[in-house]
Amino acid sequence: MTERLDPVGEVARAVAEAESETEPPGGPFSTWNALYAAVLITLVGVIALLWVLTELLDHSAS
Amino acid sequence: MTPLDWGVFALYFAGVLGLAWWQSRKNVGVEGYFLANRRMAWGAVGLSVMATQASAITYIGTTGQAFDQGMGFIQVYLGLPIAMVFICAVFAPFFYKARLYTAYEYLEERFDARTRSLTSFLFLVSRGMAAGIVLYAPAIVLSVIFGWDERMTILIMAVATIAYTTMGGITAVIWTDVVQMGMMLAGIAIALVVLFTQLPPELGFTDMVYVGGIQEKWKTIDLNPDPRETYTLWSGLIGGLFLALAYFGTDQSQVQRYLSARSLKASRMALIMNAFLKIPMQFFILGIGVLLFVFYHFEQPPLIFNQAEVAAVEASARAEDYRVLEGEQGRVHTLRRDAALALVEARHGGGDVEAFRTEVLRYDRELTALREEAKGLVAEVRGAASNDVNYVFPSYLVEYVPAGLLGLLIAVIFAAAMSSLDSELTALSSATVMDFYRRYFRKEASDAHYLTVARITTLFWGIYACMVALYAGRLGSLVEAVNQIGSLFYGSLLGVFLLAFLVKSSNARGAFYGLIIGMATVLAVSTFTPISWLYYNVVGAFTVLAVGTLLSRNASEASSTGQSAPT
Repeated sequence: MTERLDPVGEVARAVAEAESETEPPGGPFSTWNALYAAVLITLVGVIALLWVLTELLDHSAS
Repeated sequence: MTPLDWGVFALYFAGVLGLAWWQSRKNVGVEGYFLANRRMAWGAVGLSVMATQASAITYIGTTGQAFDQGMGFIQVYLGLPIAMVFICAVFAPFFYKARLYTAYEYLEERFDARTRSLTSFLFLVSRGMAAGIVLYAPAIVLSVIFGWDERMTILIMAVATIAYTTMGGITAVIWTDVVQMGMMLAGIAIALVVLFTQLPPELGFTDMVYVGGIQEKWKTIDLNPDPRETYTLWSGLIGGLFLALAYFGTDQSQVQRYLSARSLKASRMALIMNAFLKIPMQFFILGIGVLLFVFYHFEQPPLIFNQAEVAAVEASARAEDYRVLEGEQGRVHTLRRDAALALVEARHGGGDVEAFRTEVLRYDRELTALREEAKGLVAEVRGAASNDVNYVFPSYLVEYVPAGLLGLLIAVIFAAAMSSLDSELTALSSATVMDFYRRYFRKEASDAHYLTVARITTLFWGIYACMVALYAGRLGSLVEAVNQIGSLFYGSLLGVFLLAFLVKSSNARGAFYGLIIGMATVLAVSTFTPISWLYYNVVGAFTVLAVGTLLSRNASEASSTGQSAPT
């Protein structure tokens, strides 16, 4: 069996090549990065909200 | 069920089959059958991704879970949005660029054929069995609740799903998933509204929230760092992240969905949609369970909801003990209902809220203890732990939901099961045809030939799932064993993909043996340590990454010094 040792695992290159087929190239401030940041910020907000709800709505002890 | 309910139910089946038939006209060739010619819009793909993940047990099981233990289960999903971002940024471009049919195909392109074949084979074994469980689990619940024949329930779900999936391929699957997901979302909203309107009129929204909070049912965030605990913020963020990465990034039943999107942008949008909607959706599903908990403060619930379990205890020598518990439950329930009504009055009229709150809490705890005792009786009589959580919501539906809506909500449970099963059948078929049949048996054949084989394998996997579901009760430990194999290989499979994407120097030897050692490590961890199952995927992924990198480096050094690497 032949093993491939040539490196092909460059995420950035694969992303750039795949994106170039469909979209204009994006940089560090691309729309996608803004969308990913929005997802993560929303998640932090949701966790904070759930934590506040946990504290506010717990009536098991006075 | 009334004739109106049956009418709504029949309308659902007719609608789904009609839509599938209409969509199936668009299928041309095997790429159309498996990937909708890579033309699907992101909204449809996104809803299909969500519908595939939400099975009937998500719908009926997690409501019961919230009824018993509160909202903490939602923490399992907290890692999901992070996973979606990672998959969009790393996995999706690789898959899209390679123009794959299956996720495992990529592993041959990157490593070798045996890594592809092993991962695809493990997928077929575990997902094939899981497809049977997707049918079996709701069928057994519905047959107990409605007294329907279990085999007939399985066959109705299976035959309809197999028919439209075999006929229409992924196009039919995605569009029926869209309708089924719409029904599920509507079902959640209807259930919440109906439940709320059935609470006593003096009970306002804030009272409902207050009563639920007396027994910490709204507790969603648990900061306990103990890795043995499954439902904590940390297990959700870490274990949930790796679980979602493995499921959405490497499981063909999900990868196939976004491979069928019309562009990389559409694939990413579908996943981002899931990142935003999954947690709110799960919040509302669990909210139904908490609302049920509040509802049963004012209506007497059965001590055990699963009537098959009740019948077993009543037919045993412990029948009298169960009747005593039931009598005690009735007495305490009446006291709690009166205390809860007095509490609401005190909240509005300025009475001693604290005194009534303490009283309700005391009765809540007494009733919980009685329910646990009853579950203990069930376990003793049946020789297996009580499985009551799956029966809480269906019991409520059949007892309290008005005619017409009952038919709709039962159709929603069927829709949830069918929308998972159809995706699994197309995924199993695509892996069988592309990773084995075309790879090893017929490398060159006409498109029409592969399309015929694709339909036959879809039919085969449908029948296989049906057989597993029909005999699941007897298979027992085998089903558990296969599920365990699934949990062993999931994290390790993720590790192989991470190795491929992130470690430039990794090679076939590192990937193959890394996968084997990763699975063995997870088996050892699950056998000899008490850590929560949510962390198994983390262990598997990191083991494969570490071992795979190390073995690849050794092979690389051996070849550079003139030694040949063992294969």
